[in-house]
Amino acid sequence: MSPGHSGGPGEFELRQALGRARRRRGRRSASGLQLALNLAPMIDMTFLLLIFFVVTTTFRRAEGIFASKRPRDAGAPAATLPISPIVVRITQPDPSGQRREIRIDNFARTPQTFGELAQFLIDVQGNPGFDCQPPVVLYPAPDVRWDHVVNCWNAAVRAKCAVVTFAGK
Amino acid sequence: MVINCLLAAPWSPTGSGAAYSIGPLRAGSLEEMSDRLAAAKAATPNLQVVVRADRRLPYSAVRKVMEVVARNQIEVMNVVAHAREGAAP
Repeated sequence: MSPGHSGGPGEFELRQALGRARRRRGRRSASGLQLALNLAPMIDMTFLLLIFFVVTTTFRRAEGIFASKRPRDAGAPAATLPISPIVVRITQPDPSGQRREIRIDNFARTPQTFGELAQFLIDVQGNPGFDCQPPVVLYPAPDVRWDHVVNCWNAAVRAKCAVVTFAGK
Repeated sequence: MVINCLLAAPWSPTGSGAAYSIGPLRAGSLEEMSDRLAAAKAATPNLQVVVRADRRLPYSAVRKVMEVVARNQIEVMNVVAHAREGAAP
C-alpha cells in the first residue's frame, strides 16, 4: 500500500479540491486574465510619507539632569559676582593740551565734558556687572595734562565712586 | 608728607620738564626722592603721602612719582586738586 492512499476519504477530497483549483487557475491563465498587484500608488504613498517625515522631523537635544546640592548651612553667603572696573582712557589729541578725549572701555558713549563723565558714572552704577560703587580705573596717556587727569578724578569722586585708581603700565 | 611736582620751566607752554620736592626740600632726582621716602617709611610705617602737581605737567611726570611711592610700599597716596566747583566743564 502506497503512502498516498493511507489518508482516508478526507485526504482524498482535499486532493480533489486542490486539483480543481489548479485546473480553474489554468483556465483563467488560458483565457488571458492576469492577476497582478499594482505597487506604484503604494510606493508613491510610501515616499510621500517618507519625505513628509524627513522634512518635518526635528531632533530635540538631549537633556541632562545635573545634580546639585544646596549648602548645608542655610545662612552661607552667596558667591559674589565679579565686579567689572570702569576703565576711563584720557587722550590729548593736540599738544597744546586744551583738548582732551575721554573714552570708556566697552562703552560706546564718549563723554565730551567732565560733567558728562560724572553723569555717566552715576548712570552706570547698578547696571548688571557693576556694583553700586564700581571701581574706576583712570588710564591717561603719558602726554595728557595733569589738569585733565585731576578733573577726571574729580568727576569720579562727584559720582560717589569710592575706588578710583590709576592704571599701571 | 607732601611731594610737590613743579614745572621746571614755567614759561614753557608745554611744560616739558618737571622738578620734584619733598616738602620744601628739593629732590635732585627720583632716586633721591625714593631714598628719602624709604627712610621716612622706615621711621613711620603708616606713612601717608600727598602729591601736589602742577596742572600743566604731563601725566607721565606725575606717574613717575606715583611709581616711586608704590615702590616704597606706601599704601595711602592722596592727590591735591583745586576744590573749585565747575573749574572745568
